[in-house]
Amino acid sequence: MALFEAKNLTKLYGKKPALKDINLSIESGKIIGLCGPNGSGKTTLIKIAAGILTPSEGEITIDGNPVGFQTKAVVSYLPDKTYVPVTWKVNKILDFFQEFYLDFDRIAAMNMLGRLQIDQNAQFKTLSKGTQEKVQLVLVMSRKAKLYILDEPIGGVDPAARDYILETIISNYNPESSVIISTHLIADIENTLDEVIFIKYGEQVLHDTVDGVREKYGKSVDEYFREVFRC
Amino acid sequence: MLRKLIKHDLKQEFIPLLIFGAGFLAMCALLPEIVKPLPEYVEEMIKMLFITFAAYGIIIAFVLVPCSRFGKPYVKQDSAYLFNTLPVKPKDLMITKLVTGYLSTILAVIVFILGDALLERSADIFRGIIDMMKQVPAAFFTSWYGTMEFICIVLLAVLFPACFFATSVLTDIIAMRYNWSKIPTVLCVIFNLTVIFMTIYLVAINFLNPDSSHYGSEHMIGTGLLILTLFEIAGTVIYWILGERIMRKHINLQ
Repeated sequence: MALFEAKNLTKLYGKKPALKDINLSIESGKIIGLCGPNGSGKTTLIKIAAGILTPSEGEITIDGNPVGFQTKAVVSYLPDKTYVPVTWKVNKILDFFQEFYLDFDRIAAMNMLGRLQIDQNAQFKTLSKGTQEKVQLVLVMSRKAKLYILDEPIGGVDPAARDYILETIISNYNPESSVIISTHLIADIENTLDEVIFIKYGEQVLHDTVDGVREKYGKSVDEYFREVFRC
Repeated sequence: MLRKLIKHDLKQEFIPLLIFGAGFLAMCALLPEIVKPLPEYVEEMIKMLFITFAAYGIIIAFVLVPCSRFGKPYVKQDSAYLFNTLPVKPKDLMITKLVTGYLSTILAVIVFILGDALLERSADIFRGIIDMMKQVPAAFFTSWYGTMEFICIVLLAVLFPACFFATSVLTDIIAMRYNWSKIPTVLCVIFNLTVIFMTIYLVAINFLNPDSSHYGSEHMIGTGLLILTLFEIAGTVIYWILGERIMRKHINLQ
């Protein structure tokens, strides 16, 4: 059974399609890059999977269940924006995650925060933007989830932080889980990925392994991405 | 999970309310000492003004402010992502808000009664409430119409916070569903305000002025109470069905 399955998934914003008839199947134990230029529909697909947007047609199932409160228990979602109440202290956010997510590993989170030298008594809003993103990533990756969905986790941080984030992702996910990473910064994550999905104007134009892309097209995924999405 | 949600919500909402309530009670305890040296009529006037403004303050702090904030965690862009991705059923999120709404209303009533007792340095208000309770059988159960009025008043007391808080949450949910479109939002606000004003009007003429002939016949008041009760029952049912359905099937955080 596929861990993640999208069937005939379509999303319209008014009459404008954001996703057109997407069919996807993702197995456990993979790191998948969801790639496409801005406005291609990556975030829409991710939001539907996270359960904060409803599709116009079709459905997504995760671990055999349609998106709902059961899937939210096994999906660890990192949005592309700040989503924790900014007035809370880091400690309070840890308490909240521990309370509501049974799979949250507080010790792992505290260790990661410690390595990053982030003060757990600091109010979230007093942290720099990059540090806030790191805290959110730590929270999300400290869950023992079946599926991690990360929306642009490396978009707004410096190259050194990108390395840390990718290292965190690789070292924290377990082999039974899968990670979907949405990005348009392919070069930075290409070596981390097992598979890639390209989305263009809401349509799925590619779903293949990274090695498969390299063999078929004789190029790196980044080079092929630039070719497919050339303006 | 429902228990955890309620616990979290109570912590979030009640700590500021308790601080406000404690401040109000401290003022009630101190004010009689402060105004003691003044002439008696000035002392009484200051106390009356204080309790009147405090009543407005309590309504604003315990009911209106929480009410305007209650639905926000579910629809406000930052925390909405957090709350709508929690592994909880949508109905649990809504029940949480109702429970917190009820408790905040009850807390407001308790704080006000205690404050009045402290201000007057007397337990008259408690005796008054007990006397009023004792008079209930004679006042209401002598005719079928009085019984109906009594049932309506009890139902209203139960439904009012539910309806009030429910429609506020619904306003936010609908606003999210239709991407803050003005028409459904305005309709919900109108429903809320209608319920509030009808309730205040009917309760005021029924309780504050026993000589209700100034406002029409007793039957008119009874009928008004019945209509309001039915209106609130309908509002609460609509809220539940619509709100739960939107949260479950039409969530739309763009």
